[in-house]
Amino acid sequence: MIVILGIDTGFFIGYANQHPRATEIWRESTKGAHELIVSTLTVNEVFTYFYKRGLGKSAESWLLLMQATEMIQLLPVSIDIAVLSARYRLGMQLSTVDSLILATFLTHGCEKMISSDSDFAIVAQQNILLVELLR
Amino acid sequence: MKTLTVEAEITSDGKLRLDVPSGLPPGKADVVLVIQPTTLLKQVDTTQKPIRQPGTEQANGDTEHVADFISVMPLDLNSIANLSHQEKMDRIGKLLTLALQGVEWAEIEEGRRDRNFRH
Repeated sequence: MIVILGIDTGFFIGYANQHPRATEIWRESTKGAHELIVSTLTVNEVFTYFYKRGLGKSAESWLLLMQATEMIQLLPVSIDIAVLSARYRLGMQLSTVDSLILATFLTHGCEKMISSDSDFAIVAQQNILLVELLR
Repeated sequence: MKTLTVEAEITSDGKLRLDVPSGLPPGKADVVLVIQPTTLLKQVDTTQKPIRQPGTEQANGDTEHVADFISVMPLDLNSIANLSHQEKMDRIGKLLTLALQGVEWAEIEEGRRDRNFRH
């Protein structure tokens, strides 16, 4: 059974730095165990580091590969997501980016989100979405 | 004034031979030469070392590997379409490592802060 996971930027940082759990999830995804939902806000954050390191061409390749991979969905901020995020931004005092990412995951049926952002702990506490924090 | 980039030949006696139409009228001209063996120039062109910003010294430790990897990366959807799921994921992972190795979550977290809205 395929598990739909919301993947925050912290997951990618974890993977790039050999975090064991991030590596495990990536390996499982490679085998088709997970569908990965990624917000375009994460694309922005990852691209910033490609550019910072003078790797613009690599950034383009990364994006093309992400778009072409069946088990990864890159999702932009739609009107529905913007509206829904306002509720979580106010109700849980999340930052704008955090609330948009959470709303993206909820809108697209994620069963769990993977993040390094401890601000998302409240999301699990309020039973809105399962949150796995990479420490 | 004109700036030309050409490949010239150094003869066996060490002299520089240039045969370049200048497109300028006859007469004397000042010429500035920067001479570097072509083999070195080609190394620079293909290595594609990342531009390092302050604070990123720990990242990209293996620049030769990085260059090799970038040089074989497909850059269009047609070539990517021929890759298997495994190959795509592997390449995504390697590229992520290039971009994010050595990055701390705190850096991203700081960029997300908009606490002014908070009560």
